[in-house]
Amino acid sequence: MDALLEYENQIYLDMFHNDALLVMAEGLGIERIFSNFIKLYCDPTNLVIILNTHEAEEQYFTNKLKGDSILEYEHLTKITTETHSQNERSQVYLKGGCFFVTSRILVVDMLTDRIPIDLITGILVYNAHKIIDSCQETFILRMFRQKNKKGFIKAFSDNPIYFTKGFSKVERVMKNLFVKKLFIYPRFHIDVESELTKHKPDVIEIHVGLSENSSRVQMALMDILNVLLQEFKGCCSYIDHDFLTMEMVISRPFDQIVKAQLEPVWNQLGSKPKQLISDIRTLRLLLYYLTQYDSITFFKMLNCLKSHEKDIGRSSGWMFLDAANELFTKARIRVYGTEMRNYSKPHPKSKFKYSKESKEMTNRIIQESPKLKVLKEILEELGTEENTDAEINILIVANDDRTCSQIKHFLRNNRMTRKLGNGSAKASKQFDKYDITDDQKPDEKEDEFIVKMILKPLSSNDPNDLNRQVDSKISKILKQTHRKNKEKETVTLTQMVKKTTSTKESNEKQSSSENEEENGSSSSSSSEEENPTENQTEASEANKSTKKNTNLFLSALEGGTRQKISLIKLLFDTRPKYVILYDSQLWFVRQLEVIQCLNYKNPMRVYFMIYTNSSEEQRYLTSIRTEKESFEILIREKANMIVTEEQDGKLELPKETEKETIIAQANSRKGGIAQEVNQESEVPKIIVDMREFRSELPSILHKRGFHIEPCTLEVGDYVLTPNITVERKSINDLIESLANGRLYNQCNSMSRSYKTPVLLIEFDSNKPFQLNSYQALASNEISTQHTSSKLALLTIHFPKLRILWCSSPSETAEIFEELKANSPQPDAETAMSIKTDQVIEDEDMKFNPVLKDILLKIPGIDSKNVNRVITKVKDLCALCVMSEEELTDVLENSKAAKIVFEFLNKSKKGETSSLVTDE
Amino acid sequence: SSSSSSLGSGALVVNSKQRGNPVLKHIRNVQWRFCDTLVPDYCMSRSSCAFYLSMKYHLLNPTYIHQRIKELGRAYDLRVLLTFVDVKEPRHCIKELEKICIYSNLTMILCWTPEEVGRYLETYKAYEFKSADAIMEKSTNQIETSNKAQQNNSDSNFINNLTDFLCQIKSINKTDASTLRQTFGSVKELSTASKEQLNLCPGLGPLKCNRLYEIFRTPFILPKKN
Repeated sequence: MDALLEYENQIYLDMFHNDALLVMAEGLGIERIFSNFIKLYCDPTNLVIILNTHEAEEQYFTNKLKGDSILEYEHLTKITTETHSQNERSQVYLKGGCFFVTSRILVVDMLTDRIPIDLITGILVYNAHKIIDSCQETFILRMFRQKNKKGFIKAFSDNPIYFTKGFSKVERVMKNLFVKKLFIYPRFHIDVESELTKHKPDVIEIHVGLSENSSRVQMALMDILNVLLQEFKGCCSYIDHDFLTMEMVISRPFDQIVKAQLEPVWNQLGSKPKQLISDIRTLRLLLYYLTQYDSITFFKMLNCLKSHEKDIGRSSGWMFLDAANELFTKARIRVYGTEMRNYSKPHPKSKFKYSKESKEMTNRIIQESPKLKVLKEILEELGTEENTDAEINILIVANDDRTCSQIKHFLRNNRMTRKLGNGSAKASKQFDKYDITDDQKPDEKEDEFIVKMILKPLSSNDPNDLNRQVDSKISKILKQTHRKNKEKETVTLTQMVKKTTSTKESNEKQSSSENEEENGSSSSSSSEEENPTENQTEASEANKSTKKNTNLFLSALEGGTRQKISLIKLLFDTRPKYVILYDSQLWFVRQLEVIQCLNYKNPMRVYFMIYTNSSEEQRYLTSIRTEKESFEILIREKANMIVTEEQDGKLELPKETEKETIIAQANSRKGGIAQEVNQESEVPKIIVDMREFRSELPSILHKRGFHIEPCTLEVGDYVLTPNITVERKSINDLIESLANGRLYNQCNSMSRSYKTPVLLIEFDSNKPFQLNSYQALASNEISTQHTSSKLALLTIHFPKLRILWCSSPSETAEIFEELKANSPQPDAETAMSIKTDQVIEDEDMKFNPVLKDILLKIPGIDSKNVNRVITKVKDLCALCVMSEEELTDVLENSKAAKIVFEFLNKSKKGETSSLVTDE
Repeated sequence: SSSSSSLGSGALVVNSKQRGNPVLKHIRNVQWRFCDTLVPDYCMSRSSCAFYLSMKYHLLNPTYIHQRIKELGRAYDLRVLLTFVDVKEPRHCIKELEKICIYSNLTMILCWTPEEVGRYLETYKAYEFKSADAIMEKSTNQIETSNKAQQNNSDSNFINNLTDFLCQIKSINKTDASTLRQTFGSVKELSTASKEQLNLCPGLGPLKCNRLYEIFRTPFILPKKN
């Protein structure tokens, strides 16, 4: 593990001495500080809970500690339902150390006293910005603070933007976290600034110009977007107009902003604004495609849109604008060139036709991506550069996987042309049209996010060099290939972790030679066959003369936490000398600064590529600005923040504070009659089903002072009194369970065992408080399709059923409280003993519920036979390849099997598919 | 019960006091008639009745509904309280009414427009004798008959079914479904597609591709606990 930088050390000490919330700029290395804390507390004398980590992050931290051999990493344990049973867990906690625990498990363990709360040393909260949305962590922290006044709570976040959305969010988060202090470390913090400017990487900014056609396309797209935006402003008065600027439209988080603003009023919007929003999204995507991918992909996307329009015809009509015309023409020119003759598409399947028409192909001027051209130049420059190091790592990062695979192909083709001789003009035409379909089957492994390319393999005479390879498996592959084809220069595309070694390698070679056949005009392929020996000698000469090993790594920036973590890991593992930012994101640029400071003896060179005057540039600049602004807001808020003395919850207040204040309020109205307090002395109890801990309600009930008793209930979700049981349904659940009959069964068993069965319809507090959509009312017929009709039918059959309509969980808690007033407490034993007569309920939990719902959408599969499929078939893939006879065996019904089989095998391709498979 | 005399014809019986209620305009699918002697506001069947309550009115006359419930006594099995939400902040009021409902055995239904109230009344009348089949688990026979009906115009139905199927996968929308169908044609083809092939579909980001790819390869049965 690297030593901490000065400012990192400062942060570490700040956090060590205080219970605090840390907000850092993204990419400044929050994971390094956090892992130091884990290292500190990884000790059997501590019991530290780590909350809110992503699976990939857990993996990363564990590996990082394992790397430090001094550490007793066995005290870092991950707890899930799979690894430890309920009874084991209490033992495991007592052993001490750090624990990654999923919140749902921890809630239950805390409620049932499986974890000794008073012994917990402290809680580390990662991704603290998520704490407001997910209530479980708040619940955990509150229970922790109630019983444990000494333990620490330290929270970490690298998402400042999140804290500025909404009203005084930091303050709320801090209250939920029970911390008094807030540390803010933006990039412009004086310590950070001075440290990072000490050793700056050598940055070469390359401003790539857009071609004329591309910038015309961009202009057209912007024009259309502007028109749509104006129209949207006109017909939608709900949304904050400050957000509706072109700058925001092209910036990254536009979708989220619109969603946040429109969700509460979504059902009040007419079809027009909805359509406009979806069109703006599409055009934003097009704008991204324009700079990100090649002209063919862009054109294809446009064609797809056109055919959608033909099929469905529901866009807001932007395709009829003048600018759209310009867009389509220019996009076409980018692919087919200026000559607008009726070009007949070659049949996608036949490769031969392709070569016959090769003459026509050369006339087809496909506009190449300027960035790729620059990339080639950089790589060539790096190739000629004198280097003393034995091993040079080059890292290329691009936005997404698709761009990466494009680069991969480009490089592969590029290599080929170099081999064929630099002077050949015909051959250099090759990489103007890099193929888009990737014939390489990716590994099904999770870890194949990073593509590693080794440009020049080592000579087999020198085994020491081979061992120097980072990954021993890769060197094994290299050895094998060497034995097979001596000295032949190969591009070895391999994944970091791989099981298939030699077979894969030969596949690779095959595919690349296939590629040559596909792409190459006849002359180039023949030249390849003629002088293989020449190539060999050339390559070996090159090896002997330089004797250096260049490793090329290619990675995507986007792709969630997992991708981010693996990229950081790659960066720290390989310490590349050269980094080429094909696309850039703020956090990664910072990460580069950090690694340069850590590794200042080896200067790093960064090539930073950006299209000038493009939406891409604008997007990048906006992201810098919004981050800076949100830090400024945070700093201002910190200055004005009111932190109460007891906010950390460490003060020994009389228990059940909140409950008492409520009572006090009630009593002051009646002149403070004392007897009521005595009545309330018994803590009201609610029995809650285990499965309900995914929702927010138990946490809120606990906050209101209820004693929560987790149980596995078969009937109902909440038992309030011996007579009242509640089945909670969110709107989506309600619609679904009314449709599949589940709710009927639940109501049936509830009304059989309880006097007052209650159906709680819980609305999402961010969404409109309304059951019916206008569409349902628009039709004049009464139909069982509508949710309200089904609800009416349900009440007809269960007249005893009471319905509660709640627009938020806190409201539910209030009504629960009133319903429980003056009633006897429920008993867990009795509640658990009440069973449904069907066992289906219990079996359900073994299935993956998501997949079950998907299966039910297949015609021929219904709630009766879906269980057969689930138990007899492994997964959807396995189901797809089954024959009709096999399906009959599974479903035990030939008719249903026929329907399923036909559904899975019937093919209905669109016309546009020919374009997609087009090479 | 006392109101049984006013029943008889198949019409929805409406209390004369409801005259002028805009809700009545929206009862079109069933017959209805006024009756002077009816205790509740509406009588849908021998065993079910309904009160209509506007929240605005309730806030002005909080004792009104108690009075009405008292008059009704224990008559009728299903007693619906059709609450018209016509105030801006209904939460407090809803809570109060819910409590009343639970203690006096009323079923509360919230409506946000007069049309909705009308529709509920229509539905209660029309479903007077309806079986619970529509909200019960469907038997295989029913599915088969409905499938047969679907097969009549199979092509467009196949597309609909396929779209439904794909849209059930989280984050896949109708446009994506259409793109996927146009690219791969069948579910079988889609199941064998590689991540990279999926990635080539316009509009499908890496997250969607991953999810789609994984969903075909996730076992139906959750891994067993040890």
